[in-house]
Amino acid sequence: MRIDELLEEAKADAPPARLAVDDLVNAGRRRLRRRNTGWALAAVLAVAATVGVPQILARPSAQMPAQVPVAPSPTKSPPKAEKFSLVAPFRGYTVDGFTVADPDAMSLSWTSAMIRQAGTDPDDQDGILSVTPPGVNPEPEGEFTTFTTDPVDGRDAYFLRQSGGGESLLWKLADGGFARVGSTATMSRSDMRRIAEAFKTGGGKPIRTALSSTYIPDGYRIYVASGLRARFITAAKAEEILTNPGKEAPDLGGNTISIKLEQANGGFSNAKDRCSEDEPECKVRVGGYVLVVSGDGVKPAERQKIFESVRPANPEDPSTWTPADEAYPTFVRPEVS
Amino acid sequence: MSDRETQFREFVAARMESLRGLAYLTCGDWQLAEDAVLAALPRLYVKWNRIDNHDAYARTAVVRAAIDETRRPWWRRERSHSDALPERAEPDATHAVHDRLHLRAALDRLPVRQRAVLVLRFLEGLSVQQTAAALKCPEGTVKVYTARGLAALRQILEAPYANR
Repeated sequence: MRIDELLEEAKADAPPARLAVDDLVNAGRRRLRRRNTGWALAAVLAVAATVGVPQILARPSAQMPAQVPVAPSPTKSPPKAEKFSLVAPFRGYTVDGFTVADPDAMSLSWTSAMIRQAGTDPDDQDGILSVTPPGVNPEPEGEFTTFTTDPVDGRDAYFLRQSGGGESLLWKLADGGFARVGSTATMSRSDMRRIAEAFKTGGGKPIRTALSSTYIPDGYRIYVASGLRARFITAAKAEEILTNPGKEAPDLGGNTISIKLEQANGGFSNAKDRCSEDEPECKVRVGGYVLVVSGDGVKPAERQKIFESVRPANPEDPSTWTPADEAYPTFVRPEVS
Repeated sequence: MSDRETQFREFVAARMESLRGLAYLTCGDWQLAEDAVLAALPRLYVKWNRIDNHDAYARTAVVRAAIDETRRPWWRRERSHSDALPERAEPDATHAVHDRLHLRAALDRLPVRQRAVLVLRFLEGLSVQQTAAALKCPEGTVKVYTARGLAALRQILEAPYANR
């Protein structure tokens, strides 16, 4: 069999498409509108209102305050231990034709930011800059080869090439953690080095998110937050990761809660909350997105309670997002020594 | 309905299945493949009037989006926990399905950029130069990935199931 026949055969039993032509046309229209005129929050609310968001937006205000209580704590009783804070350890910067964006995702194990090359589509991603705290092994899973190179900022550095492609430059930071520039084929080793040499820690901004929730079950702690996603793990697992970090991608254990906004597609057409015991997740359409709450090891009633407490902001307008530290009950931030 | 929309609609209707398959072969997951198509084609809509070769743009954008999907920290770090688990290659009663799963498993074992090169070159029929442009990499890289990808595929496909 020829290679082209093999490839055709490999995709021969495609599942039914969830996407329809209308979904793509609508997505294109939305994108064009954003490009041309800026994006209005009122528009998404109007769209959302017609497809069932009222279930979220119009829940009884007595139980669901419009804003998540942030616990401003003006009196600030002396904390016994510091809370883990979702404030990035570095900020975005530009160097020689590359832009490192402000970090947009952070976990107990890593913080990451997108790298884009000047002159390319702003939605294209040409690499990732990630920083891991001291104690976390920043090397990826799988086979790789390392090549020592000149120090970066006076500290050890090396290139890491994964067995099938993909190269990164890793270098040690002053606090004992590591930073890593993961390249695509558009980035040469000297590009990676220039990006690394311009990197500075500090000055990072809070990670912001379009999600917030007034209810997370006791005993859960936040593991990761980004613009459209959050994942919670057990307090014991969070403590384990913070005290004995191990790998960059640790085993999160069986009990996790995930809250996310995904782009809607043709396969999702219901206009009502969907939170049945038959399904492992609760879903509702929010404008052009679907809010999904899932929980491994979480009872359906708990899952529904989380779902009903979620307040999505406009996923396409980051100016409406809140700092992730303020988006959930304070107790979900684990204590760090 | 504008000309742009009419033409785009016709284009998508004609090409979506093919582009979805292209993305799938690149990233190895149907759900991520649709995400890639959904990420790529709205860009084409925006640029429709400024692009001469819509098909080439769509192919490139979809493959690059599919590669990006596999590079996202969420994918890289949480794939094993997500609902986008890779399909398992389990033997089936029929030879056809068995062969298909075998082939998919073989493709899954190739690095994503090697897969993308093979798909663009041998399924889409692009030249080395066109493939290099699509993936924004040197022609030499395309040649190397082609040779390595074919060799790896051959080796994997020739290996007995028991050894996989």
